[in-house]
Amino acid sequence: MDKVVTADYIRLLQRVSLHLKLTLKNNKLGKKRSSSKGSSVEFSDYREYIPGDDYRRIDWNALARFEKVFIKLYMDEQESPVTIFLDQSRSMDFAKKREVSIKIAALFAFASLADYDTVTTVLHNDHITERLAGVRGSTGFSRIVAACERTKYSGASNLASVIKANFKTRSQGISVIISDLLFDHQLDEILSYLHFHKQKVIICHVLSAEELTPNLTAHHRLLDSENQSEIDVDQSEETQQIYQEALNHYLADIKGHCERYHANYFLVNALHGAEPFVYQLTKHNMEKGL
Amino acid sequence: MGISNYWGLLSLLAVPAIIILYMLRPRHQIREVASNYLWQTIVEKLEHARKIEKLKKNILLLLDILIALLIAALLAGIYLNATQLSKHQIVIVDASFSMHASDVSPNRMAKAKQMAVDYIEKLPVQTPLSLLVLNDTPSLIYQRENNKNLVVNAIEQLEAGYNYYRVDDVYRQIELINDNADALVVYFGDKTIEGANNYQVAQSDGNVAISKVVNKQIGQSLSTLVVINNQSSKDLEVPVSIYSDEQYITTKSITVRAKEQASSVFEDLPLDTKIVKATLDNDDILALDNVAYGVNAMQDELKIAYVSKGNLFLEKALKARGATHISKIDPADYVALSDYQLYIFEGFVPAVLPSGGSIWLIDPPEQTALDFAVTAGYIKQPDYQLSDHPINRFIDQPTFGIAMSQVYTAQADNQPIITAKQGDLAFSTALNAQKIVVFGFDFRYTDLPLEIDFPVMINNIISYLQADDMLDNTSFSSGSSVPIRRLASTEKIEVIDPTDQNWPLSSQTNPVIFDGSTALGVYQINQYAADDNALTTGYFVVNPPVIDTAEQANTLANNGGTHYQTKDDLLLYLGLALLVLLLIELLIRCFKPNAKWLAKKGRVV
Repeated sequence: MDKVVTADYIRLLQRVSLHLKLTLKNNKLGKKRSSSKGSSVEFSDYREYIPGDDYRRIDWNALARFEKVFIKLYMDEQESPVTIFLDQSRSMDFAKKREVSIKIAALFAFASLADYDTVTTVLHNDHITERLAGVRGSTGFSRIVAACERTKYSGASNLASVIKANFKTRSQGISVIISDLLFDHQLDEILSYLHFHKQKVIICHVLSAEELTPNLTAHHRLLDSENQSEIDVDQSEETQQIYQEALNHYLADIKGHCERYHANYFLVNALHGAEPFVYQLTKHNMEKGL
Repeated sequence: MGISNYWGLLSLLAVPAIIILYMLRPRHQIREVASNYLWQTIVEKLEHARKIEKLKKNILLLLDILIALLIAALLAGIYLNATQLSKHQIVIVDASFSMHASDVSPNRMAKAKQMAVDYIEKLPVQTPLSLLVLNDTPSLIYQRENNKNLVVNAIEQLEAGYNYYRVDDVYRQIELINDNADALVVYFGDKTIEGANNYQVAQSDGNVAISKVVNKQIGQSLSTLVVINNQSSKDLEVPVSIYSDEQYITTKSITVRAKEQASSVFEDLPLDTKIVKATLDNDDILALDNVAYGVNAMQDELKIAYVSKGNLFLEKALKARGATHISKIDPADYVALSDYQLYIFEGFVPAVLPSGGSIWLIDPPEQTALDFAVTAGYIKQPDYQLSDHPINRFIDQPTFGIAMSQVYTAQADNQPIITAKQGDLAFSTALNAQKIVVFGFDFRYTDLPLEIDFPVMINNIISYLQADDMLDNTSFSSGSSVPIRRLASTEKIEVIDPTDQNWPLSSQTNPVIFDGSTALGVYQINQYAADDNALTTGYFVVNPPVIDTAEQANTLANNGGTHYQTKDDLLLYLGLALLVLLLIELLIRCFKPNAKWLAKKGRVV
């Protein structure tokens, strides 16, 4: 399989991961200061200050002693186990969806591992094809990427059953779902289930440009890559319009579910690659948090 | 339904080709997509859209077929005559002088004949046809003839003549033929007939003609007046040459404004010239009217016998005319007269009127019994009117008063000159080819001699009474009957026409009538005595006709009249229908339902 996560992309991740914090608690002290000062907040470690860190977390004593700026890290910030569900059904192998979805998975894995979180990667179609559980440290990143890149894309997707199979106990964490959701996704059921399991959910909805705006150059018989079903579509403005209306309705439905369960939803146009999404996610994290 | 070009029907092959193309058009291209998930949610709506597409396709197929049929019809030059199937058609072929013009090859006449023959041959069999040929008068050759071949043969025999017809006569003739008012009138020529389907053959109006050549002896020389008629729509400068008995004399350049005429006088021609020829040296579309002739009559003095007790006014008026020899005779001394060309009897009528020459009776005694006039006595100060008699030419608003005049009861053969409500005050008639003019009043009981109209009227009377005398009228139109005065000792008369054909005239009447004046040019008249001695040689000419204003307005130059062409009109309608269909097809192809339209149709989520 082609190598998707390149050295350039990793350099990009190194740059942005410093600003991308995947935590269960909102660590924006300005908002949560009073509650964050409780005794349950356990000091864990130091690390060097980098621009963008909250200056209120600077350890002034360490600055006085070492003449270097350190910020304090706490245990609760580290313990945010992240589970990445990467859809590897046949439909994800179209256009640039495969490349973009793997890169997005790599983004979340890199950011989590950089924050000393454990990362579980679930590769699936209608069942779990590979599961890398509890990966830690920088070496884990290459394992995750290698697993994503080598897996063949096949079959249809069944996200609900995969998620149910993954969580055995109720322990809080972050679930990242990367999929085109072009199936009977039962999203309401999935989000309800993940909410019950104390999961903070991030949905990366990857669609190709063709799926967002079909380019009908002629009358087509569309052949489904997963189930081989056929459907005749005439080339006309009306057809285009009907599809667009259906797509808008479909996306609005997904967004509605996400809002109800406070899940983060990102629609990614695969045509533009993963990089714009990386910046979009970072910006979103800095402005609103994840 | 008729077809002009059967090859055009080959384009009908486009119809099955269009149908095959629609049938063979690829329906759907197979295309693999990631998932049909979203498409499947809108299958039902897509079916609606497909139905519209199918409908559009069907309409477009129908339109394409209609367009192909229309194009085939246009290429085939289809025309309707189904409605004319049993309709009487009056075919008018113009054979007037202007049809000699060569602006179309070989000339207008040949072109018009060809068009007429083509037209008739395309008509259904048994179509009733009337053939009207226009030369000097409209001539009905066939009326409601069902045999097309006869009509076609008659048209093929036609030749252009040397005259013009009167348009009013044509309309009158059409009305007579078209008694049921259901006929289709079709005209082939270089003019237009209102209400007819006009098939126009003229392509140019660039003609200049010599319309008149008049000679006048002035002193010991001859002057010639030449009138040029510019029928074209632009001002021209034309060179005119003059010949005296075929000897070149001179050339002048004359400027003639568009649609107008101009004249020029050529002076100092030899007095002994017999024939003056004028030629236009420029080429134009009609060469025949570029030459005209004028006879220098060199006639003897007009011999008038004036039988009267005396009328100074009249005598002076007669003498003022010139070239007249008046023999004044007192009624008391009257004896039977002969050898005069004109007899004027004033206040007196002889028991037997002279048998030769013309007669003018002025205020004849009331009790005199005349075969041609019945008097109702005198009336005083009659309220009179002038008729359109030639004697009243150039007298538009008479202002003279008549103190007293005899009034005559109108007779069938009499032509009124001056009329009142009680009857005629003056009239003309003919008795055994002898022209007679009767005036019921004495000029001395009027103030006419004091008016400017008096010499004009006297001159008109003399001209009218002389008109049949060949030597006094030497220019005729083609086909005219030419009266030739027989001399007392003449035994044989012959006429040599411009083609050198000899026409012996054996009639013993006086004047002798010559009916062979068809060709344009100079005619020579020879009179011989009993011993074949030549007595006299005279000439007359037949010049090109002069188109009158009304005719000229009807030619191509001013072709603003009705111009119907059934076939072309149908093709025009077909062309318009084709354009409309193309527009509809374009609109359908461009039609894209917008969201509002879809919402209206309930097809929006």
